[in-house]
Amino acid sequence: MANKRLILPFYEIFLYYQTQTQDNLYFLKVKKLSHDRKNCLECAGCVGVCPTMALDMFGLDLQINHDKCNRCGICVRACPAGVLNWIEKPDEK
Amino acid sequence: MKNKEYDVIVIGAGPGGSVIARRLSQYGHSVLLIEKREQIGFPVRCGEASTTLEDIESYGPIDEDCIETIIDGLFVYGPGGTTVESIKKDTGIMLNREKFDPCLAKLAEQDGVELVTNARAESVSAVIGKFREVSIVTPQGTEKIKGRMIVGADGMESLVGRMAGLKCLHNVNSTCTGVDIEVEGILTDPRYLTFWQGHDFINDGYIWSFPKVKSNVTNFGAGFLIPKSKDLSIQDITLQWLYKLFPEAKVNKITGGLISVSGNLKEYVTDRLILVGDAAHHTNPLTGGGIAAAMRAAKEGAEVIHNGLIKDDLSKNFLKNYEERCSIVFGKKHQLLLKFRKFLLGQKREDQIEFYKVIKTFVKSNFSYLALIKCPIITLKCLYRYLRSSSKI
Ligand SMILES: Cc1cc2nc3c(=O)[nH]c(=O)nc-3n(C[C@H](O)[C@H](O)[C@H](O)COP(=O)(O)OP(=O)(O)OC[C@H]3O[C@@H](n4cnc5c(N)ncnc54)[C@H](O)[C@@H]3O)c2cc1C
Ligand code: SF4
Ligand code: SF4
Repeated sequence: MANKRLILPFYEIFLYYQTQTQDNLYFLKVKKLSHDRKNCLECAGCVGVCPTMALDMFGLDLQINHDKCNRCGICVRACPAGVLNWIEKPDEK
Repeated sequence: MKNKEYDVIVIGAGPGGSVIARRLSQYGHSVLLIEKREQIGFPVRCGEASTTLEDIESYGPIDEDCIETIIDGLFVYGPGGTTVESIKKDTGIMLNREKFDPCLAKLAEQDGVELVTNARAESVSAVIGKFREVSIVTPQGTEKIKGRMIVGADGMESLVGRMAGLKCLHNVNSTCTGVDIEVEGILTDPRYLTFWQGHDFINDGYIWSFPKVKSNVTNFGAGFLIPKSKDLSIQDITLQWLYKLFPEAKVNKITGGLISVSGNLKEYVTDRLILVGDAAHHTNPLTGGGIAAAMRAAKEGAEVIHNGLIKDDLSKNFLKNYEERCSIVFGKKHQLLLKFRKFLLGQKREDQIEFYKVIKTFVKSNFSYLALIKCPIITLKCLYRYLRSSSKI
């Protein structure tokens, strides 16, 4: 297992690192992905690029699993309609 | 789902999924085709230009309504005012995918495929004995269905491959996003597909205008590599271009999507599972077209699976046969086109203009290499650059 980790490509190590240290990263705590359903093109492009499978289309309805999201921002860049954005996460108690 | 067990479960009822399901059913296997959307083909995520009518009709009797226009050539606006015009009768057709996709699915159903819409594949299990289990979510609840063979034809958002452990996540650097805008009326020559490409327009992709004559609308769109940062959304950029080129345009509706331009995936088969079409990145890396390739891959896939089911060998090793076939019928061509795209987009504006001139001479002379002798220096320069760049990729 240890060997396997060593040969992971660099970005995977990066993603692994990010998910492992979730609570320590300021960004992870403060930012949350928001989705403007009204202007969404329902194209599922964001689903295809998300490295952590945090997104999925249920029919025509995009579901975001915020616990899986590592805030890489790829979906934000790839969304053709520009309806995925970061919002400040309200304090969760 | 009527049964708990099928020979083949096909996930996704796009052109790839419907064609492979129909063919396998014709061979006499029991096939389940599931589609997560309520209405097949809606919303359309496509510019809808495709190969020749003959090619499309070889997959079954298609309703006349599905075909919008017979295309007789291309017109490309390049950088620095260069243009390339290629006239060839019946080079392609414009489809109406809102009708085409359901038509293919209906053909499959008529040939004995069990089609279920509103059914999403949530997970695919590892191989258990002679099966893989797909858990399918419908409004009635979740069901686990066994399939001797699973086909992931779930388009560019493909999660099926990733559930089975295939490395099919899109690479951000070789994936395009595109927006297609349906505009009222015919904007450009109704016989041609029109493109705008190069530094003066959009360099890491292109703008298109495809006429749908029967419906009297035009598919205007743009697709380019996923931007490094996001200032303006792709939709806004496309709309800006639309109003710049056609100030009077009236927009009907907007759709979008991902287009993989990386060439075929390295590996898209594993034990008892294959990927077809966009899921296996079968799109043409130069044009982004993927309808024809998805259907062709489906045809090859059906033959291989049929043989596998007869021999009772659906191991990865046997299914590699499908990868090889796809590589022969279009994979190698796509690899070449990929090199060509990287070369063309990597050029500075001045070089690109020269290159466009060479292409123009070449096309004008009806693709005769002899004509290139007329502009020997530029041709040699371009050829030298091309060979150098393609040896690097
Ligand atoms: C903006 C744009 C423009 C394009 N223009 C052109 C063009 O001009 N010409 C051309 O040839 N190609 C074009 N393409 C590409 C073309 O649309 C695709 O290559 C083609 O649709 C691929 O077909 P497919 O069967 O592989 O997948 P799709 O047609 O994408 O079908 C996949 C289906 O699977 C379903 N599905 C996904 N996941 C699941 C699941 N978990 N469970 C159940 N069902 C699921 C989806 O809902 C979908 O219906 C364009 C693409 C885009 C985005
Ligand atoms: S930010 Fe990254 S991990 Fe989070 S949903 Fe978007 S693509 Fe997925
Ligand atoms: S990529 Fe953007 S427009 Fe497309 S489904 Fe995702 S959020 Fe909607």
